[in-house]
Amino acid sequence: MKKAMVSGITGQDGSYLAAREKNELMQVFPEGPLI
Amino acid sequence: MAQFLLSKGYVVYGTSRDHRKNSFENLKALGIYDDVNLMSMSFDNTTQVETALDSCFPDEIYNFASQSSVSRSFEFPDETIKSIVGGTHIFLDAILRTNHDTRFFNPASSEMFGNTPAPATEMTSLNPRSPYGEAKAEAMKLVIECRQDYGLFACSAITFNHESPFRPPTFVTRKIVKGAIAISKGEQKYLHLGNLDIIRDWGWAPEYVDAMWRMMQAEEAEDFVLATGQSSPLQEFVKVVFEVLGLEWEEHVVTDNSLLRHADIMESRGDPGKALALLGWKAETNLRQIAMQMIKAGTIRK
Repeated sequence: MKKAMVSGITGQDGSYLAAREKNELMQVFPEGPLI
Repeated sequence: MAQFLLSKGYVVYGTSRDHRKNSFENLKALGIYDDVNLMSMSFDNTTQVETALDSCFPDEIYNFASQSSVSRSFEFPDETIKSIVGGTHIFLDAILRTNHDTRFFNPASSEMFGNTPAPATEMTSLNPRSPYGEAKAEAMKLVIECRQDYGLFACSAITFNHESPFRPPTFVTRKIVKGAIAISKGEQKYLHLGNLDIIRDWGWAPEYVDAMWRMMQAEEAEDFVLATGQSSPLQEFVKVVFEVLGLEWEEHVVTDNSLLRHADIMESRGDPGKALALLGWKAETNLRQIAMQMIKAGTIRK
């Protein structure tokens, strides 16, 4: 079974805009990838 | 894209900056929220991207994470360039460090071309008119470099407008549909819009993800223009949407000079001939059908 990664899954800047609004654009989430 | 890949039997990993903070309304609306493996990953952080790739070893990466608004790119050019060029660079670098067999898809844009009164092909020179277009052009060059110099399977789709109900309400087609529906319900009287004379090649997003997937299944990585080959002024889309809802658009649409862009592309049209010849792909949905689909979805979604 093939595996695909789709980055930006929130769609249409949802994550980007949320981070921008909270001034968290530069924040690196400490826990790293979390499935 | 995620929905299409799931329909093809893929295991899909979806990344977002911090997946615990997002509601993923689009995935829920599509009915695939429980089928996508969600991961937290800031695509501008090398370590996180490499760790993410190490944890799921994807066969294919579709990199849609970036600032995606042309208008916003004039306001925040540095963020736009960093997210599009920097994000692409980090992904390609991570593939080179982790697994060279992973295939990489880059969504380039017709915004790279600037005005294209004659249909643009893969050979048309780039003349971007916005920071967004400039960033997309730079990201595509990186993809070509990694393909030619390092042998990566990396390709770019030069996509012309491809609309869907999942556009945010700030994007013009969704704004028009949402406003016209509100007017038809008597909730508002006027809709403020910018330049209605801009001419675009309007496509239907679900068809475009099919083409993107086909590009990733090819024997060799190549760049493709994805377009309908037909173009219409924005006013035509407005007219159709209002007509379908039984309204006269002239009575409700107000031209607002504050919404005019600093520099806008007046005419944009693509030549999808290569995609038809090599991928067997052709856009089938016309402008009226796009409007109908968006109105149908818009009467359900807020």
